[in-house]
Amino acid sequence: MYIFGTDKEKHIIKLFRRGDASAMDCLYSEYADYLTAVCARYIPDDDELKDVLQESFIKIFSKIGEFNYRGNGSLRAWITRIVINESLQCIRKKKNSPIVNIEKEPPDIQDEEPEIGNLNEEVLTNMIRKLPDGYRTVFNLFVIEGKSHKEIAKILNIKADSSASQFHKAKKQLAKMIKDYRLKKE
Amino acid sequence: MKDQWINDIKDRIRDGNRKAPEGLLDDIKKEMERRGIAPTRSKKANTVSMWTLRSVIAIAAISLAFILYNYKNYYNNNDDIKIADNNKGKQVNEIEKKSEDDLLNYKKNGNIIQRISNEVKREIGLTPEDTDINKDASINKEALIAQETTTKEKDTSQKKTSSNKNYTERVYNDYKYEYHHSKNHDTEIRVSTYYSGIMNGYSNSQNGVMLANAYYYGDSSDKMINDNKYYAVYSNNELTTETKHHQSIKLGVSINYKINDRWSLQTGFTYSYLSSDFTINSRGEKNIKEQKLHYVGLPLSASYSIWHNNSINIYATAGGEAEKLVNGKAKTTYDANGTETYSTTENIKSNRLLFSTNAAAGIEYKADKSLSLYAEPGISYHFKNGSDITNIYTENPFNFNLNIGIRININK
Repeated sequence: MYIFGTDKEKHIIKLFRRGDASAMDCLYSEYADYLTAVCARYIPDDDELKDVLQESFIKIFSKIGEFNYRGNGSLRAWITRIVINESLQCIRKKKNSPIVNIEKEPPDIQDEEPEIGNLNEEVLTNMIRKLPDGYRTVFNLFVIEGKSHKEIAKILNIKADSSASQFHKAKKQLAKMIKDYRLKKE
Repeated sequence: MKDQWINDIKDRIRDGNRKAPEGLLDDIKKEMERRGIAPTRSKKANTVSMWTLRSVIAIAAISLAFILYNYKNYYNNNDDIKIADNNKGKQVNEIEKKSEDDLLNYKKNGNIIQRISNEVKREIGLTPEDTDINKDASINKEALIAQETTTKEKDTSQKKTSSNKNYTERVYNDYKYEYHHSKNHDTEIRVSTYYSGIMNGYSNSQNGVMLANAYYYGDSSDKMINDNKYYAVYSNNELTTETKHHQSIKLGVSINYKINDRWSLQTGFTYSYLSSDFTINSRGEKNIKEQKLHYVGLPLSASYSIWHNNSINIYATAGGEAEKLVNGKAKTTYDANGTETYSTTENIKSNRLLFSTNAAAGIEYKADKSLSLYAEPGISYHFKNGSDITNIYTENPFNFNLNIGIRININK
């Protein structure tokens, strides 16, 4: 029994193995929008976003022959990983130093949970994109990718404490953004 | 512990979509063309080393057979001198005595083949443990029986050669006659024992292939730990699995039924051992599943001899096999960041037969009348049987393999 989606991934891999001319188009049309969303969370600049996606797809297309299908979602996980890695490389190149923001503390607000309400994906993503590089990267890795601060510390070559503090600051700033947005709307 | 609102954000955006930049795919294609990159088609397989290893084994087997054959000829030649110059001169008698003593000594020790093969192995620098011949006691036993039969036949031949006829020539002719013109062709039965190995490197090198491009994260090597640029992220909060299939082992015994000079049928039984390791990573937690599967199979195949002479037979063979899982175990070890470790063992069962088809080219070297060695490089395809057991065949149903074996003639 196949869960929906399994056959799609298998089909794409088969096309590549066959050397089918439509293989690249098929993978692209299936995943381009999803990967753009992934990449956009890390890369706020649209020109850079395009460059990173281009490099990611070239890597995906040129290395897919080495990929082994491991069940439903494995292709998606693999290509996601490539996009995230490319995004991190892009941020690193720009920074030339560990990705930690030493900006002034975000305004101290009361530690109450902001109301997400009906804020949609686009609005939330755009808020995340407005976060400084360090906050944003740690936030994405910790919240979306489910990494621990210890793991993030290794990935970004920072201390585990720094990762935790960056996340704390990111959270504060994001909470403020959400509150401001809602106030503006009201 | 994350706040609820953070979790809400995650749920809302993690599987989101965003319109891809305009003209991105065209730009990608142009850039790939500019760099001369084409989408890869085939899997990267570590076949070279496996082929090398198998070739070495095949060459060693053929060499062993050759040396073994020549070694035996030495004794046959001594016998010739004894018979041809039966009553002539002291020197000849000495040779005769020597050869008789030698033969007697070997007979005393029982297993001539083993003695010879051990000496040969010493000559080529192998310890007895290094070869399959010695491992399998039953082969030696069969070889011994075959050898004794040959010795008896030789005694009979010796009596017949009182008319000074060259013994070697006689044996050679007898052999030739039997091989090409025997009335017993249709009842010729040969027993084979063989080892089969899958040559596709894929089975050996899957570990990390899935991660071939993406940077590996985790404590996998010192290089990666110390070199920060290798660190990156991979998870989309989904489980990721690495699979490593170890080299499978297949042993078989078969009976060869000769229909005519060209065609023959084979059947018998096989035993296969497949082991795989599955490592499932999630947020630093590791589940390692070690799976061990034992199969017993019933093969059936037909062979066609393309070309043969007295010592070499080149043939093609094709057939199918049904295999049944007789025993399967999976041991799973849970490792949560090195803090909690415990393991469970489960039995794996399946009533579905595993069907496969295969084709091979074979070369057989007849070391003597009753014993021959062969190597069969070939291809096999395992059909899906609908069971949920993952093994090397489900991962890669199409395989290259090499059978190496010994055949013993049991002619009526």
